[in-house]
Amino acid sequence: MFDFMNNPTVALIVATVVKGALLIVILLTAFAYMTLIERRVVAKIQGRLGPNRAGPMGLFQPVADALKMMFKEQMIPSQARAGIYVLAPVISVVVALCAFAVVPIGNNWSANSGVHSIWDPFIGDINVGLLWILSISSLSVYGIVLGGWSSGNRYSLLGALRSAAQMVSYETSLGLALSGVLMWAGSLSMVTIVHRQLDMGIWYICAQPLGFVIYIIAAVAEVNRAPFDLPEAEQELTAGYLTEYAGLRWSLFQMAEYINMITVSAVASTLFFGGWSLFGLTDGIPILSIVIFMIKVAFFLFLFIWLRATLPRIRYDRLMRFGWQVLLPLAALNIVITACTVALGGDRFWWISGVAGLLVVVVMLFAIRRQGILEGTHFSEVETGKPVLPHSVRLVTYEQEPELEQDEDSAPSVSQPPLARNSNTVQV
Amino acid sequence: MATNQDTEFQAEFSGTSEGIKTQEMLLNMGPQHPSTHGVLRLIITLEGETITSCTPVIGYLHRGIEKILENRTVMAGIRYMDNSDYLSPMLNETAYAGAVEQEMGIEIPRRAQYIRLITNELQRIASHLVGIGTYGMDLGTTTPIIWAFRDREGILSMFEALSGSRFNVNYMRVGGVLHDLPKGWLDECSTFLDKLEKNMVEMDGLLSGNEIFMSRTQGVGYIDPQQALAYGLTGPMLRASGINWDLRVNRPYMAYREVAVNPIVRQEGDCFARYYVRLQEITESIRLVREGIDKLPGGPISVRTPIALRPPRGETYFAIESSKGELGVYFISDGSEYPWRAKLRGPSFVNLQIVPELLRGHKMSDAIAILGSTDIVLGEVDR
Amino acid sequence: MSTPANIGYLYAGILVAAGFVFVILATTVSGLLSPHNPTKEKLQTYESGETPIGSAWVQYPLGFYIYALLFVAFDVDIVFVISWAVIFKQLSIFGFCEIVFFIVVLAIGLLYAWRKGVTRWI
Repeated sequence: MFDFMNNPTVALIVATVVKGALLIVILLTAFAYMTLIERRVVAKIQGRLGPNRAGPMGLFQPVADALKMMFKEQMIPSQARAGIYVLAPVISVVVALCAFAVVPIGNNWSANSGVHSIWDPFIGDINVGLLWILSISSLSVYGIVLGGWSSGNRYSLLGALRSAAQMVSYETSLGLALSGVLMWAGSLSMVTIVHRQLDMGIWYICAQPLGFVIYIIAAVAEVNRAPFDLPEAEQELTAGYLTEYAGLRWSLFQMAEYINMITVSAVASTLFFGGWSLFGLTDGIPILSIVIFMIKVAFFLFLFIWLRATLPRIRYDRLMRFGWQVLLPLAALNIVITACTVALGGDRFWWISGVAGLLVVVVMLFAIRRQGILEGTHFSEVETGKPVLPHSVRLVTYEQEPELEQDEDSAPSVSQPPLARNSNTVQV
Repeated sequence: MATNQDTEFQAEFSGTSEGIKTQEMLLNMGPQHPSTHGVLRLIITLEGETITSCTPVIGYLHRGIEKILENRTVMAGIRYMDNSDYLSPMLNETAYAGAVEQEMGIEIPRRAQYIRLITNELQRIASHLVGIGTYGMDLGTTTPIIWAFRDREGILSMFEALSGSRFNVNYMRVGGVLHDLPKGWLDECSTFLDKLEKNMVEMDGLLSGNEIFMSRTQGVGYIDPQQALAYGLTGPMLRASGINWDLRVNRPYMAYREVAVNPIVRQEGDCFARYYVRLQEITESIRLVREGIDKLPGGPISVRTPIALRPPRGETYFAIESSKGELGVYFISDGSEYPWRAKLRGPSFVNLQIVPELLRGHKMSDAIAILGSTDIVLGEVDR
Repeated sequence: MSTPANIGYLYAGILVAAGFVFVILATTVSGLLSPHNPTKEKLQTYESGETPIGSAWVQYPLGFYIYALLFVAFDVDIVFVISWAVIFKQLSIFGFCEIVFFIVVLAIGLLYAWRKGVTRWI
C-alpha cells in the first residue's frame, strides 16, 4: 500500500508535508493554549481566578474563543484600503508560521548515531537556519505596518509606524547578539548549533551571558510584548495597529504575535540553553528530548507572561534610545569579547567570555540605574512655555506653614473653626 | 491627498533639518477612549508624537446635579451628591450635610463626627486606591489596578454593612449619620486595615521602585508651586508641588479638630510626586481611621432635627478635604425646604484646568501619564 | 538515506504554502459562517467615538525615516558580521583584526549618529 514511499524523493516530500501540517497544528494548539495559560497565570499573579468556566479548569476556553472568532463579522472599514487590509494579517501569520521551520524540536530518532531519518523532529535543517529565522521574522513587520497603514485610522497609523521603527531598531541588536553564538558554533544550522553545544559540554548561556541578555531584551521588543508593547499601546493608541480589526482577522494578528513569541522562545532555548539536550539525559530516549525542549520553551513563555503582569510600558523615545544607545553598543562589545576569546584559544576558554559578559551585564545594570538612560526627563526638556525652575528651587518644606502670600485674602482663618460656636441645639 | 503630496514632499526635503516641518495631526482622545478616566474628550494637535495643543471638551457626563439639588429637599438631596464624585460618595455627602449644618448652626454629636471621620478616611483610601490602580493601568501595567480593586472591595463591603449600599451609600444625614455602626464592624475594620497596610507595602514595591514606572513619571508634568496656586489646584496635586495645604489641618472641621493629620507633602511637583502623595495618604488615612476607632466616643449619632428641615435664610460655604482636593458646597437658602442654590466646587473640575498647559510639549505617552496623575473624576467635572 | 544539501528549502517552501493554505481556509470558512451586515456607522473609522476630521494618511514625522536609514546601514553590517562569525574559527588572526576594525568603523558610525542626535527620537 505504501509502495510509493520507497521512492526517496516522494517519501521525502510526503514526510515534509506531514511534518509541516503537524507543526502547524502544534503551533496553533500551542497558541490557543498559550492564551489560556497567559490569562490563568496573569490572573494568579493578580489574585483573580481567570477563565475557568469552559470545561475543566477552563481547558475548552480556547475552543470557545476560536468558535466565537469564526462566527464574528468580518468587516472592512469604509476608509480602509481593502486589499492590503485583508492581506496584512495573512502576511503576519504565514511569516510567523514558517519562521519556526528550522528549529529542531528534538533529537534524531536514532539518538546520537548520526543517522538521519526523514521523520526527524524538525522540518528542515537548512544550512542557513538562523539567517532564515532572522530574515523571516524581519518580514513580520510588514504585516503590522501594512495593517496599520491600510486601516485608515490615525491610531493604527501611529501604532504601525511605532512598530516599524521599534522592530527595525531592535532587530540590529538581535542579529549582533546572535553572532556571538555563531562564532562558537561555526555554523548557522540550528541542528549543528545544538550538537556543538553537546560537543563543547556547556550551554552557550555560560559563554554568552551578555549575548543572551541582549537577545532576550531585543526579542521581547521584536515580538511587541510588554513592556515593549508600544505598537498596541491601548492606553495611548486604543489598540494601535489592531484598532480597526475585528473577528478572525484580529485573531490572526494575535496568532502571529503568540507564534512569534513561541519562536523566539524556541530560538533562545536552542541557541543559549542547548535546545533539546539536558546533560546527556536524552541519549537513550529520543522522545524525551522533545519534552525537554518544550519545558525550556515553556520557561521562556512564562517569562513573557511574567513580564507582562509586572512591568509598565516603557516610553517610546526611551525605547528607541535604549535600543540604539545601550543595546547596540553592548552587542558590538559582545562580539569583540567573544572574538577575543575565540581567537585566544577556542573552546577551552569559554569561561573568559562568560565572566567578561557577566561583568558587562552587571555594570550595565548599575549604569542604567546611575546614568539615567532610563531616568526621567530633565526639567529643561519640558516645554511648558514657561521658565522652568531648577531642581533646587522649591517653596516650602514639610514642616513649614503654607506660603500663600498672594492668597492672603482668601485664606481662611485657621484658628477659628466655623462650627465651634454652637452647642447641640437646633436653631430653626 | 494625492494632489498636494508632491509639494509637501518637496517642502519636506528642501529645508535643513531645522526647517523640516511635519504635518500636524488632529487627534481626538475620548470620549470613548481607554484612558481618559471616563468621558473626557481631549482634542490634541500632534506634531509627530509631540503635543502642540490640547483642548479638553467636557460635559459628556452632565446630569445637572446642582439643579437636581434645588428641586429636592435638603435631606433628599444628599443622595444625589453620591453621583457627583462617584468614587467618593461619603465625602460628597459629608460636604453637603456639613454645609447645611453650618447654615443651620448645628453642631453634630461627637460620635457622629468620629463616624464621619472613619467613613471619610475609608472613602479617601478607596478613592486613592482607584487613582493609583488606574494610574498603573494608564502606564501599561495591569496588576496594580486588580490589586487596588481587591482592597477597595473590602471598603465597599464595609460600607454595605454600614448603609446597605456599596456605592451610593446615602449614609450622611443633616445632624449626624443614618445608623450607628453595626455590631462587630469596628473589629472587621481593624482587621481590614491590617491587611490593607500589608498590601500597600506590596503595591509600593510593585510600582514605586520600578525603573520603568519611575522613568515614565519622574520629571514628567512638572507643576511649579506658583503655577499650582495660580490654577487653584487643591488636594494631592497641590501638595505634590510642595505646598502644605490641607483643609483637614488648615481649616479643620468636625472630628479633625481633635485628630491631628500629618499632611503628605512632596517637593518634586511631577507625576511621580502626585502618585506618591496619594500612596502615602493611604497610609496616613489608615492611621487616622485607627485613631478614630480608638477615640470613638459613645453617645447619640445624630441630633434631633425637624422632619421638614428648613435651613434659615442665608448663604454659607463649607468645604472639606476630599480625596481629590477641596470639595466645597456653596449653599444658599431662602428659608424653604429646598435649597435656593447649591453650588459645588468640585476639585476635579479645577484640577483639570491645568491639563492643557501641562500637556503642551509633551509626548503622546506622557499625555496619558499626566492625565492619569491628575486623578480626575468626570462625574465631578461635569456634575 | 542521504538528503541533498538544499532540500531544506523545499521543507521551508512547503511550510510557507501550508501556512497560506491554512490562513485562506480559515478566512474562507469564517467568511461563510459569519454574518455580513455592514452599516455606515459600523464601517466608520474609530476615533474615540467622534467623527474623524480629515484623512488618516497624514505626513508622518521624519524621525521614522532616519531610523529606516539607520536600520538599513546596520542591518547590512549584520549580514556581514554573521557570515564572518560562522567561519571565524577558520580565519584565525586575520579575521580577528578585520572584525575589530569593522566594529570600530561601526562604532564610529553609531557615534556619529549619536552625536547628531538622531538616536534621541525627535
